Amino acid sequence: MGSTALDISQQQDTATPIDDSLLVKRAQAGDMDAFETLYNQHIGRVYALCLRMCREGGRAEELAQEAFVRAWEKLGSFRGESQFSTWLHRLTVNVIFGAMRKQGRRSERETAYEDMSHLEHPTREAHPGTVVDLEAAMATLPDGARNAFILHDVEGYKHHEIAAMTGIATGTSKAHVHRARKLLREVLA
Amino acid sequence: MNNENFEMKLNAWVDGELSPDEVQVFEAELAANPALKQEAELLQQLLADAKDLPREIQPDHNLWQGIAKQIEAPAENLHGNNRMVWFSSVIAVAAMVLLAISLFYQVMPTQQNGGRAGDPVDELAAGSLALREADGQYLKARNELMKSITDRETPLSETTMAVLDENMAIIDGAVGEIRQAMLEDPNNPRLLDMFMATRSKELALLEDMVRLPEGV
Repeated sequence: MGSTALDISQQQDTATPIDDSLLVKRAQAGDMDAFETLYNQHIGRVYALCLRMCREGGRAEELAQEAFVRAWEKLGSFRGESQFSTWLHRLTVNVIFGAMRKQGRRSERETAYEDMSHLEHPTREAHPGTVVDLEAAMATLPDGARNAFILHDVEGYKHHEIAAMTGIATGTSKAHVHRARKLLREVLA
Repeated sequence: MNNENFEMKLNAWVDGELSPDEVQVFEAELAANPALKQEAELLQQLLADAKDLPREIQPDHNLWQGIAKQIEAPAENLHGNNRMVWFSSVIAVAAMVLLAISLFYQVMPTQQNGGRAGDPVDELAAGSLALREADGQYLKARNELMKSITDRETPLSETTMAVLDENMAIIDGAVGEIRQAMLEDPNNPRLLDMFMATRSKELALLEDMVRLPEGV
């Protein structure tokens, strides 16, 4: 108790992650150093989600930045009922979907990627690394299918959670995931 | 089992949604059909690969400076309750201006019939100008509310957005018709009442949408 931002930086030097709840309390009191430490501890996960869902590094950085700004603004409403990382992750998903909605890109991409046959299929032969294969294959999916696959099969959200976060029906989330799995199997086979 | 049926069963199988009896039947089918078995193995491998993807990827640039800059300028970022207070102010101003114009138009015909103060043409022109100004205020409030709806942390469902779009189209149509009627009959105070009521309904609808709870 009563420790300062200096204490936090000293703790950071040990490379041991600092307890989020302590940092959140300080950040809620306006301590930006504490929030910076939260940023350092969570940016990797937030950026990974943004990058996978929007597929462009620059755009992903913008969204990740927006997610943290929004987190700061909403920090007062965080009551610690869930983990901070869970809360931040959901907030990031909302930021991403809000941005996609604004740009109206989803429907356009659905149509554009409807026919997978004309796409350059990344194959296991071309890219021997499984992870690279899958990342590249995921990037070729239609937006709805890709987002649902990432949230369900990569991030582990349930369909009803995806529905609540994105505003689609639970059945639609399921249909998107099934479609993504089928398309990915075709691409990666 | 047709292809569609197989896909459904396969997904239910990997997601653990089949009953023990159904699992037994499905796995027997897989065992009897090498092609189906291969598909099942591919999906299992895909899901295992998905789970093995790195949880964290570091961005090419340190984003903290940009974040800190935005956090340090909170006045420029109106969000949450502050934003709603701001909306309410804009809406209140717009409503007051329109009310004043409405009264102006209601009083004017009386003045024209009895002792009147100024040139009716000038008064009409002034009223029309003020109306445009008030309408501008309404449009400003409307744009902000629309922005707030699209910026919601929990987006509205596509069904709700479709209902909103439909209602907004009806209101836009009504506003257009009333405007046209006002041009043809500028001294009719009833038209202004209708105009004001329609705009108010529009803002009330948008306000309701902004305040809708999560998952709607």
